[in-house]
Amino acid sequence: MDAMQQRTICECGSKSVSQAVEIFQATDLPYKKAKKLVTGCSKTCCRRPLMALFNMIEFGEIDYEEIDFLIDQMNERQE
Amino acid sequence: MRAIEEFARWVKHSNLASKVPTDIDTLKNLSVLDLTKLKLRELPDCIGALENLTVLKLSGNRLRKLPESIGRLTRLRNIQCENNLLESLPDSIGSLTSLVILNLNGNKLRTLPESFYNLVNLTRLTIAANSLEMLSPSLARLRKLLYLSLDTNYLRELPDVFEPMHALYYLDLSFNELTTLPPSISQIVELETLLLEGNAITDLPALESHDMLIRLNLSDNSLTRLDFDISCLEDLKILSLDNNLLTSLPESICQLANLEYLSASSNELKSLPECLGDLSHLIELDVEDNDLTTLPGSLENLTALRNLYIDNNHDLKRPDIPSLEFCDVE
Repeated sequence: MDAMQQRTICECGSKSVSQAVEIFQATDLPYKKAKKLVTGCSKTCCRRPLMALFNMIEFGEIDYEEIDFLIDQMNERQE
Repeated sequence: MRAIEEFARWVKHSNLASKVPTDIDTLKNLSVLDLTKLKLRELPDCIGALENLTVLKLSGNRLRKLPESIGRLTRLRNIQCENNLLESLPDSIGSLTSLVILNLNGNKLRTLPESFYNLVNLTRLTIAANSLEMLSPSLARLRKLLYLSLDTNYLRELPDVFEPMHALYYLDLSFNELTTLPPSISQIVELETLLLEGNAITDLPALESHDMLIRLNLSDNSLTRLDFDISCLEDLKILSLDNNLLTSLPESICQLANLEYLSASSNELKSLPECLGDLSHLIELDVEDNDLTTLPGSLENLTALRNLYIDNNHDLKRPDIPSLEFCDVE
């Protein structure tokens, strides 16, 4: 679990999953704006893992294995 | 009977007995099989013996393929198989002609077998985040579709098959490699949501006929201008134009009397139409990260406006709008 939380969720911003969790939990902004706090850019990057994490936080339960899977999936598409 | 017994043994052997019944009579009549998030790497062929299944939930596993025997489950109406590792579908999938809902998001599908297009009763089909490069013209057979999501694939073009899809109200083509839209897109009469984000589409006049559209997303398309009469989209409530190269918005945007959300952040807007204050239903305006030096005075007429994003322009100040609940600058 710890390894999943320490994993980089997006190259833009280089934030870990746990850092992204903290950022999302601390803001009331909608996804499009909250995402910029994590990635530091306006691009629609890392959308599936980031949006999934944002939605999980909204619903109150984080499935780290699913986030891990979505990061793998994103990285494979970029290779 | 032997296949059902074999399936019961597989359930026990896979330590799934707390999730799935193993009683033979119960299995024979089983209608819903939920194998979500169980780290399964494969399904046994004997799953084809569960002939009364109507719902099969397989999302969140590590499945690389589905057994050919799945084609025997002809009563299936709903398959959820999101976030697996499927690289292909068995030809027998085309036998599942009772299917109404099929979710294959987040797999590794490069193509769909021709038999797939026998699934003529599908109303909801989601194949987002796969590796599809093309679709067959036989897609035209899926004329009962109400909801079609093909986002995040590698589609460069679409077959010109949408004319018969009279009931389609949701179409997500975001994050593909599309440069044009097939002409028949303009003939989807009931279309309410059209998502085209993250492509390179320049063929915008095809959108003019969609007078039922409620939501249109053209973000991330390298657009330098909106070369169609946007006022034709008279029911539009949500318009997203973020991350393009727009230097202005057309005055005709002010005729969208039902518009509630207008987003054009991260463009190169130098000014906004003075008539923007005519958008009396506008709840949110996002023009953050542009090249604006002033805001139209008419914004103060936007009595429904609650959220305003204007940061990262040129020293814009929060306008005096009584209804405003949030503005990203003081």
